[in-house]
Amino acid sequence: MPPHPRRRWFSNEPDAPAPVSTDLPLPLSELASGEQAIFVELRGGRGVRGRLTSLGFTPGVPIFMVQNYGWGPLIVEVRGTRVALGRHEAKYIFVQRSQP
Amino acid sequence: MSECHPAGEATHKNELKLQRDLPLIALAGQPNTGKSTLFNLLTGLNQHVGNWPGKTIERREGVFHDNGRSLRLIDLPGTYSLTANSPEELIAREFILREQPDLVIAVVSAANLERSLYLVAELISLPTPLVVALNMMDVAELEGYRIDVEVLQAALGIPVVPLVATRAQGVRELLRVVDQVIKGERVLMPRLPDIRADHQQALKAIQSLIHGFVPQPYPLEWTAMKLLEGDAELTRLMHKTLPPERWEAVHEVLRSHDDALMAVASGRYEWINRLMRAAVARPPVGQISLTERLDRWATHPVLGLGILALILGAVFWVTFTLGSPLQAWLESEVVERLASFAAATLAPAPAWLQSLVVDGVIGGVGAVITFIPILAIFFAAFGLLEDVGYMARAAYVMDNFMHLMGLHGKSFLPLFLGFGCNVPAVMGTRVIDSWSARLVTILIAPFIPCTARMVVVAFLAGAFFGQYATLVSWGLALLALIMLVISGVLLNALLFKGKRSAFIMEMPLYHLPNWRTIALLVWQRTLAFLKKAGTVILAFSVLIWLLSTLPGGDLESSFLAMFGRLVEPGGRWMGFDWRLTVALLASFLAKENAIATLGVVFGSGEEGGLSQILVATYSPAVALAFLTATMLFIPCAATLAVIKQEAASWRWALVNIALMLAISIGVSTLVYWLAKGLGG
Repeated sequence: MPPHPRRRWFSNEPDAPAPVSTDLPLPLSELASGEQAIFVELRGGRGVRGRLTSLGFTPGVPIFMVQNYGWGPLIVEVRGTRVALGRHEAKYIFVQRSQP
Repeated sequence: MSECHPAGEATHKNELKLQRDLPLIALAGQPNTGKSTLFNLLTGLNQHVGNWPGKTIERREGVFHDNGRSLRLIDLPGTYSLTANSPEELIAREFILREQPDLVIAVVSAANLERSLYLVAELISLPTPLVVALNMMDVAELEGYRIDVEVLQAALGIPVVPLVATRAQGVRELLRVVDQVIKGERVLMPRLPDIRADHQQALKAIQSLIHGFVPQPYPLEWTAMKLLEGDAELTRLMHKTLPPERWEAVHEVLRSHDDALMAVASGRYEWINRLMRAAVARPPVGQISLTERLDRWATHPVLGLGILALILGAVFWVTFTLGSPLQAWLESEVVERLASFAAATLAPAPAWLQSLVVDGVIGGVGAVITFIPILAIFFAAFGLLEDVGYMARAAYVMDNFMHLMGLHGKSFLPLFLGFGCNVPAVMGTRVIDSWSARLVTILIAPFIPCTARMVVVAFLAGAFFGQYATLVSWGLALLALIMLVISGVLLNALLFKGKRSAFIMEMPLYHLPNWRTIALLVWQRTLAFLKKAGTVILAFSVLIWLLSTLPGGDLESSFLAMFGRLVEPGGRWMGFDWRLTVALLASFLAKENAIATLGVVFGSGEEGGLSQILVATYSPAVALAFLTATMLFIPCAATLAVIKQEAASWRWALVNIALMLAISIGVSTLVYWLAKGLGG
């Protein structure tokens, strides 16, 4: 079982600038369970853009990888909601790793 | 198959006309916010379930009474936003803009406030008065959130009423506020979200370009916003309405701001975050929620499948241990008594009339009635799993498997319903958001061995295979599922060239079941089955009776037997004589009719006698082939009727018949020769 470090669901302080990371954006599917990242952009996947946006995937939002076993669908937490994503969809979502 | 009976339609229209004058309230909300629970709580059984015009999306409308006055309530489809990403979203916003309800109640989940306020950010920008129902306050408390409702209300500028819809808490207050707003006693000063700063110029530019060209009932600023969001429906509309040079100019702005959707959405989420910072205290760090704990097991790729298998097993066990005795009781105490009562009453009448009523009408109705306990128990189990939030997990763990057929996890939910009955399974495909995935699911759903088929299998396998009966039954069910997968793979490859649809699904928080919601769900699903299957089965039952009676009055020389003899050469491949062929054909009416028909052709009413005759007549190889054919044979009349309805054409129903006919004949022929070769 991957460890589940606690993260903040949302903060009471005014919007702090996202923690800057020098890493290049990587597909969400490469994030391991328990890692946290910042949503950067959606590359391709026009058809799902609207659905992902209304579920809370907007630039700068923290995404927490709840479960990713390296195959099959994965579960992330975004804006306090758990969302299941197909691996294929997760490959279009580009994120930047951040420190929890 | 006609949907409406003329008389019923007229009364329904009258009813609606009378209700036209009543204040109209629309319930809007994202999925999993308890919107339906609130709708059921307010309207109870005083609701009408239908379809939105031209769509296979459920439309629920009801009337409720408050303070001596009646109000109309419409349950809009659950949507995450109001952009035309899906038919549901289009329906919700068109209803609000065109029908202009007196008030919209936005149901939001207090336990998921940040996300569920997104729809409020959209609704608040529309001209209709808005009240926020802050539902699931109990779950929020459990998750550790503290929400200051007064502050939230002040920050939004519209009324916010805390609710626990599952326990009916806060409803009185909600109704009081609704009343005040409708009477105009409460002034709303909504504070609207703004587009992100870097896109405000673009918004203004589009606004001035389309000014004067936006058709009713769309508000100007809202339309400009939707164009920036890339809303397909409004882009099409404005492209049509605007003079070409203006459209070019609009298009130019849109092209240079292709990330505008993100800017609009970010603007809304900034607005939400301002509200949240003001009104919500975050949960203490380090607390592991119930959902997190349960999901470690329920969504595990291996353990999760095991849990699903256990739950499925338990559902079937409960369904059959509770349902079968009830079914037998209904058969002997209700249907048979009714039949003998009718026979006695009609004794002076001509024999054909007696036979029509007893064999045709009561036979058909009886098949439906005795099936209801099993179905209702199954629906209750399904409803319970759905209500506590487990079904999304089942869809999640089945996603890998469903990918084989180009489908994703959500398609598993209707297929699961199919184990109870294929009719609700086909209707249940409405949860699938892509049309191609939905169509494939509709076409493979009839392969799911429904309870009616399992009844036939249990009876015949018991007679022929004794101690191996259970093994044979499970083997046949497995065979049907293998055929389902093969058909799914083929259909996906042939019809959609392997195209796949996106899997994006919210995993709701687990919560305690609401018995009222489940009871209502069982009631509505059973009623829908009765209406659909009942009418189709009754009509076909009379038709089959006619075919089995005319022209001579006995089965041996009837049209049905003639037809059976005509197609007998085909049946012979599978080792069938004309009687088995006729029994298989009769299962088209309702699957369990296969046994009843054998009872008629062998002139034996009671089942004990029949099984002995059958064992003496047919070899085990023939029996196995017959069971295989019954398992895979074309869908029953009621299922075909809903396939036609949901796929909106007979074409797909015919495709389905052709597919299943080919597979059932092919496979059972193979089974027959294999079994014969092995010495059966």
